[in-house]
Amino acid sequence: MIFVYLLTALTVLLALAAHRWPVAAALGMAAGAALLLAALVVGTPTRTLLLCLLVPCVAALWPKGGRP
Amino acid sequence: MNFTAPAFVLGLPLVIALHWVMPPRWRWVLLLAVSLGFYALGSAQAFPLLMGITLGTYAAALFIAKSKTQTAKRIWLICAAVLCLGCLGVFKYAGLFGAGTSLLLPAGISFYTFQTLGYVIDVYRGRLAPERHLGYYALFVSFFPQLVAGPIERSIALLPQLRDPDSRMDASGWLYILRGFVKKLLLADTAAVFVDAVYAAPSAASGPAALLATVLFAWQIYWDFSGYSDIAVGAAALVGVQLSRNFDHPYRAASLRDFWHRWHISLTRWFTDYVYIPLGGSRCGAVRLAVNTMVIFLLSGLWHGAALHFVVWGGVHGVLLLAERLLDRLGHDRRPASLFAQRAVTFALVCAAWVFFRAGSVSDARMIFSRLFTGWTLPALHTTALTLGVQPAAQLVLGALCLHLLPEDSSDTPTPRGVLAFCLLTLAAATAWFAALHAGTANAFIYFQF
Repeated sequence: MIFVYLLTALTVLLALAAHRWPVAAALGMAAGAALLLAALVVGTPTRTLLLCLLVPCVAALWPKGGRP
Repeated sequence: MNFTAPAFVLGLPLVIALHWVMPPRWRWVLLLAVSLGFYALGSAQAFPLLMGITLGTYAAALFIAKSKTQTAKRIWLICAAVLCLGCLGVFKYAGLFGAGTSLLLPAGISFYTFQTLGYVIDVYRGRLAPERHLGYYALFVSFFPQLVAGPIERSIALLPQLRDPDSRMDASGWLYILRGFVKKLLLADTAAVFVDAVYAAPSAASGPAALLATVLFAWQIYWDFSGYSDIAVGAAALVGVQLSRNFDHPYRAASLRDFWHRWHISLTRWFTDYVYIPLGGSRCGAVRLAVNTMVIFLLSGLWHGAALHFVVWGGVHGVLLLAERLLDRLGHDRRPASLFAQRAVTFALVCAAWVFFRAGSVSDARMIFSRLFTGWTLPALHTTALTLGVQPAAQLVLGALCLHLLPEDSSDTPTPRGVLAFCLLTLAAATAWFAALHAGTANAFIYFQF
């Protein structure tokens, strides 16, 4: 489970870094995919996994003005 | 057809791909086949009714255009109105008048009867030439993104788009679809768990629980219905059709009049164009204005369901709107100074009205109101927080924040961090979708029942 949280923290950091360095966004996608896979392997509860995905998403979008 | 059903989620990309591969002049055939197929999959029993109303209104519009006298035109219009409203009345309101029948409510009947009736009225008024191609007309009635729960499209806006051979895919449709799924799966369905628990036993609810459930329901129904509308708008955009917006941040309304310009816009516009203005609109005396307003809101309440609490919900909105107009006319500076306070007052009034909408009956609504003022103790607050749960609360806050931060459309150049957010949100929505399917807890959209 700790591995899932570490990957979440890594994705958040990459999402924040993506504000300045575009390559961090690509790495963030890879980290997000790894996070999902790790959560599925470990059997993380759905609500926990959703929070683990939403937190980096907010980090990527904050502040308002980010355009997909 | 529920938009969260696997057949829709997995079938939509295939339909979009096929649509753009086909020659433009045959695209309508594919869209019509898919639309009728989706409808038949969801409610096969109601399929003949959809066909009957389609053929009936198609013929009525042609006869109106052919008729030479105004009387003949009016007779055909009345025939179409009797057909549409008669079917609606029989299937939706038979129980209300004690007919003793329990007919299955056909999916989307409230929406497509209004859309087809609007089309016939437009032809009668001479605003539109009747559609002579039965295929295009059938597609106008049954277009799959908006058949079951709107938006109720104006024929003038939708029919030309269905015929347009040069239509182009609007890629922002994907963003709309993602917003819709996030609203439905991450927010509305999460809020529904707490709301359903409180409203199932209103007499057992404490004050904090009743208040939180009422506020959460206001958001639940917004996320649910606007989520549906976003998916509809997005799916239509991906096949080159632009549907009208059904919501415009309704809880940012600074008055009730403003709220009704932002909530379920297509239905409000339908009632305004085809009922309110013919009745005299607002350019008449005070008494007539009050009667017209109440008629519209009571009809709007009745449209939502054949139950007294829906009519009361409409009536409460009508009365509050009249009170707002009266205060405006008297020149009272009733509004609080700040925009925030205006929005807060409007939101509180809307929430109070939602109690009648959500409660199973008027007596349940009264029970909720009475419970609002009881049990404001620390243990009750603690129990309410525990019942909602930390994780669902965090999910609601984070999900709502993501929606707020997401751009309204993708007209600007995408940024890397925006693409990352889009991917993460897609993963989150997909996770919630799989989890709901696996657990069998996928809820139908609230407005599907209307």
